[in-house]
Amino acid sequence: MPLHQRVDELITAAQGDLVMYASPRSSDEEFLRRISLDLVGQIPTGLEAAEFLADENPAKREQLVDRLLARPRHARHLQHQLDVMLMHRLPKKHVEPAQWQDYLFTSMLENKPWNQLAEEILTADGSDEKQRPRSRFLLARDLNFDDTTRDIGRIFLGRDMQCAQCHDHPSIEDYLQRHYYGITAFLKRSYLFKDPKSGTTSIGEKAEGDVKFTSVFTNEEDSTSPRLLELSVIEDPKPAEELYVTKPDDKNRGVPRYSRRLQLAPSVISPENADFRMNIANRTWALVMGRGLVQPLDMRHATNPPSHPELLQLLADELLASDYDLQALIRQLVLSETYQRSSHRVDSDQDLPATAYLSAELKPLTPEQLAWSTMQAVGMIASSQDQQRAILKKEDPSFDPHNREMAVKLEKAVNTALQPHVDIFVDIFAVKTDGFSATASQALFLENGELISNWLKPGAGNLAGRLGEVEKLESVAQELYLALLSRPPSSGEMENLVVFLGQFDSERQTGIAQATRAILCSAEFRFNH
Amino acid sequence: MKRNTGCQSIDHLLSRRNFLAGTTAAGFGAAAAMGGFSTPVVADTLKRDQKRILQVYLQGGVSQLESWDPKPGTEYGGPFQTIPTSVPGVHICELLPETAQLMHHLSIVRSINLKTDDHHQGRLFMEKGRRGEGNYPYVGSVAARYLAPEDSPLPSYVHISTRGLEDDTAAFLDARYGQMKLEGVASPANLGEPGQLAEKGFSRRSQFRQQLNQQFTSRRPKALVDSYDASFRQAAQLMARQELFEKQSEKELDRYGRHDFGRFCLLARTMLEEGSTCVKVTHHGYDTHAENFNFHVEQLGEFDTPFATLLGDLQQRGMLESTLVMIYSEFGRTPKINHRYGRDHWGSAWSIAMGGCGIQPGAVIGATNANGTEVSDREVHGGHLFHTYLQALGVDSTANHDIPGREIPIGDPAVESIKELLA
Amino acid sequence: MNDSLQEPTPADDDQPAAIDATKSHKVAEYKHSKPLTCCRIDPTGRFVFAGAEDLNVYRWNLETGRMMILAGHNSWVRSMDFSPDGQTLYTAGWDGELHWWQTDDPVPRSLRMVRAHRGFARWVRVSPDGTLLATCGNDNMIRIWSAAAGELVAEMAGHERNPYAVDFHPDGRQLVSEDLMGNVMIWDLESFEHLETIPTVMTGYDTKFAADMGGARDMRFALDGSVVVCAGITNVVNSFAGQQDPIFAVVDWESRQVLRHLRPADNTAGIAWGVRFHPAGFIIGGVAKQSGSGLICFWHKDEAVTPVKLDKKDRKAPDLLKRQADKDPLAVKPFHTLEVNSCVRGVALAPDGQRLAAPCFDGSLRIFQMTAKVEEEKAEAKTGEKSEG
Repeated sequence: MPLHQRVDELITAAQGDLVMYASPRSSDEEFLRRISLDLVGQIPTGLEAAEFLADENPAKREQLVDRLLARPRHARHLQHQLDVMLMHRLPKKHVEPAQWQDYLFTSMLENKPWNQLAEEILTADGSDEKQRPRSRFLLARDLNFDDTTRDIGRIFLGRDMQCAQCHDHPSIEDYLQRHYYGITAFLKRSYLFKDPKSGTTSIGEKAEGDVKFTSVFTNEEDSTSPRLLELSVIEDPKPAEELYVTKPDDKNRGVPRYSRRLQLAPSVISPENADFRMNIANRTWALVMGRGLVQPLDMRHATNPPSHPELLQLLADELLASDYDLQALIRQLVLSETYQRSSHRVDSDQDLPATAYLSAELKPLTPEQLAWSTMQAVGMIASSQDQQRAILKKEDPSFDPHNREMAVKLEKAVNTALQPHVDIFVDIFAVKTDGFSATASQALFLENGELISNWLKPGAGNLAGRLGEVEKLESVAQELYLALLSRPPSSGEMENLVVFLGQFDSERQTGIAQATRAILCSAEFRFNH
Repeated sequence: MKRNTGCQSIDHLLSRRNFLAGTTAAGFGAAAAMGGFSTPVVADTLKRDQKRILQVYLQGGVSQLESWDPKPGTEYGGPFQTIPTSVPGVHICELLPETAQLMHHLSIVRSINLKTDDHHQGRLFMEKGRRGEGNYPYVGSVAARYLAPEDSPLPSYVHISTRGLEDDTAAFLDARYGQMKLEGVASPANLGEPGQLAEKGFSRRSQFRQQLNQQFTSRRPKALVDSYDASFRQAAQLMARQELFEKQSEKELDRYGRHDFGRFCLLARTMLEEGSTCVKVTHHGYDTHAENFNFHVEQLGEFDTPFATLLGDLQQRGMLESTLVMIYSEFGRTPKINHRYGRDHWGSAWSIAMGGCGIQPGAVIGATNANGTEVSDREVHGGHLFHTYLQALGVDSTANHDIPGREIPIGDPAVESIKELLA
Repeated sequence: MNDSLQEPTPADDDQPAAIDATKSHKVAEYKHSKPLTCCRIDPTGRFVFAGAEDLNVYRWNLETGRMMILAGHNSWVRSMDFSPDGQTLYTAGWDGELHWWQTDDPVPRSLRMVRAHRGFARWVRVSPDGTLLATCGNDNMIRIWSAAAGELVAEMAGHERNPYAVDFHPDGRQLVSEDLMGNVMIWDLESFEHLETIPTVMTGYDTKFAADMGGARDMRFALDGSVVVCAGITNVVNSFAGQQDPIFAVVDWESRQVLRHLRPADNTAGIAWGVRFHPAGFIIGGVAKQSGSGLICFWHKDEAVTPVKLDKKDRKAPDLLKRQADKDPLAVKPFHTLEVNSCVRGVALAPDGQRLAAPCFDGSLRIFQMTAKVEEEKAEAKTGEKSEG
């Protein structure tokens, strides 16, 4: 049985009597917008929407999924998600973020297995020019032992052990102080080294040094060698005569014969370490479903178990068996009925637990999704694609965007061209805390901000320009809905919008701009639903 | 923590009008009961009866030994002296001379034991009246909910600060009662042109947007969308009052001080006068693990004049009797002084000062022992204080939140208000 | 009274023990139950006094070890000075009070109290001729008092933030003060006017906690008045956690330029609390490390600065560089360092230049002999033969 069906079986089984409240399958309109946002990080164009909705092929959903997964834009979307997951939007330090993001993008283009990505990130030391981008994870944290230990726990193991720094976690029995320091022990001999000639910072390591820790509650002292959670202690081998490949000094970063730090990655990704695959299974689920089977994503422990333990185990096992093929898992998840449920409630008066997956969750668009979707809606992406295609064709007359390599080239060019706009959205909409918080400054940006105002001015081939040429108000309304909300308006909605536009008489463009802006500010646009 | 829209939280909100139709006014402020039924005469009464809160949050943990519960000459007393205040027999630290002269408007609780030394936990407990990460609204949101008039011209809960995380303050209450963070006195960006709100284009668009949202939520959970809507309402309120963020009066700045905290206090007075129900001002920072004494000289030195000016102004404008004032932190500081001349986190025996609406002024509630190492009398925690704030404001904190079909007590039912503190 | 003025006294017919800072070793410890804040050895070399985190000043007889309490202040004392003849002790407390004491009073009691400042009286210093006292305090004022009568002679306003320390130029004509913002101010002692301000890097604004830190925790002129050195901090990173660098700024008197920054050998975080010139030609500094231990460092008085290699972007902001230990073009490293188990909160010299005293956080006043140990044994034998008194 395909995975997505097994997922549905387990979900339905756990719903019990509540299954009568399960929402129906999403409409094609709902599905189209949702899957576009979840796979390529932006809404479809109005034209794409119209085409999909008109298509009568019963297999069109699965085909759409496969089409979207194949686009370079899917790799870009995963890059965005992984970047935030791994870096928490830390500012630039030592390594250029753009190069790191490019590394993630390329990794996702080739569907690099997650365990391989984790290994590369955790073993990177920044000394090799070509591989330097991958060292951002460790270097941007300055290899601060506390920050790095905590983040390795949260991001790779699904455990936030911060409180365990000073004592066994006061309320979570399975987070022990030695778990925390067991991870630090991998790192403690390593240090930041600044090359006096080049000025670049990389990671060096000494051949000695141990980790001791004291509980502030019990005052007991303990020490630990590198040890990942409950796995075996990793003892140093008997030291060779020569401890170093390169001795550490003012001019050289230390490279010991035996590196404790390099033992970290194999331990973390080891099949013996179930936390590694449980964590990524949970996070991948959360990516498309809107919440984790363990929630919060970094707090799995005995008193905060998964809502569906068997399901989480199944997903984790699948990942292991598939060699950590994230995209394959994503594909199965979005083909499930669970994913494809409508977000409309059957009975909106009922208070139903989100853990029952009876309906789809509203997911606020990430800053990147919001930026790219806004640009898509107003026609910025299309015109940028036209521009960049022309440039690329000039350079190489044989340019064919259906060729994968060239499609990637085009995507990169458009991405670079429009990134500055995305950065503005990130500044305003990125939040440090979990959960959705809508601020007045965000609302003011959407309502009055100049960036969007400029986009709403009629220009070559953009939405405003196109609509300005359209005679009938009904056609304008139709196109507005398709372009902005990826669906046609209902008859009632059509009426409302026509009345709205009609209020502006001859100032057609103003009316269009106001309608566009209102829809861009609407909840339906702001949320993935 | 992600907002929990699962079964522990509430997703069904009726408008206040609907609720009020089905409940008595007993236990709730007159304003709350009358919302939506006001006649012009009643409107005036509303304004007079309008209750407010001023929260002054000394972020990081102000030392109680360097403020409200000094113990000079004792083992851990530190180097500061005490000064008498306008309340006979009550002394506070010499670092608060102007506040000392207004102590007859304030009372002190010296016996707080939160049983936590954690910034985050301490702050949550002091704001929500409940220990831990549970989904409960902050006192500012509760006040906004039950005291703000329906037609509040400004966001009902405003936080003036250039620091801090985005707190999720409204919990299961309507998002409009959530904290709106102002970046100090800076004019929010993108306020648009003055008078824009009145323009036809804008108001049409606004109506249209709200229509769209109503349709969107007709069969979907409302919490997130309400939160989103609230941000637009707050944006509009700010757009309507752009002049609030223009240059502050030189004359007033002479009195309040030109540094950040002075400006924040002046803006706080304005926001309270102009209609916000809860205004919170954060003064930063007090987490003095090193050089505790020099830094308290500096920080309380900065705090004293603007706060005293604000308190004095509220009193002079006749607002103090309807405004609850509280000065608080997330915990106090250790009696023991460390090797860096610092004091560390100390949740087990510390103080808060409060006054104004419904509070018995000039009182000292509770005590710590001679050395300040533990509470010796009338131990209270965030739960007791929470009840006290709300009772002082005329909100029955022992009642349940007005969410039909749900029974969530406003205050922690395991404890009561500090009755001797209530006027 | 500048206690480094006295020449070492030869012990009877013997040569005095040769000063060799690198051989410094602890010879005595006087224990108190509270952390100490400062200490001084009186000009006659009989007593060591210490302030503590309580209301008293403590006096130990250096020969007998007997301790007496000087009670009278209502707060901590972090600064003391003596009349040139050593008969009178002046203490400045964080109660704002200035007290007079008889140094060798068998039962110490305060002879006079003057309310010198509103808020802390942070410092007291005696003029070279002993007739005047200078104090500074948290009311941002510097005040000059007559040592004999305790009358206010002058008030100098000008510091916008708390001044932390003052010192007289050895010629007695000018006074120097330094405040929280690292501003060194020079005052004329005839007109009591402000002459000049020299900015230093001895300050920092902690952006994390929105507060300034700085100020001279000690200040000393060289015997010949050629330089004045201020002990304090720079490079504030996280001052609420104690993360900033200790630094001693050496200001050339004639050019009014900061010539050198004396720093500890390792780039440790902490505070420089005490500094003294030794007649033998070196400077002694006491440092409290952020970690809780302490250092006593020794620098050659005229040590040249260690050349620093700068890269291109460093050249653009030279002033910033001076705060960072590894880039400071004015940095001078010590030729010797004593590691102490507890934070060192000051240094004081004995008049014979043989010993130095360091008040520490653990309540222990440590006495170090700056000579080789062997000679110490000889000297001890000598002391045993001397008559008591």
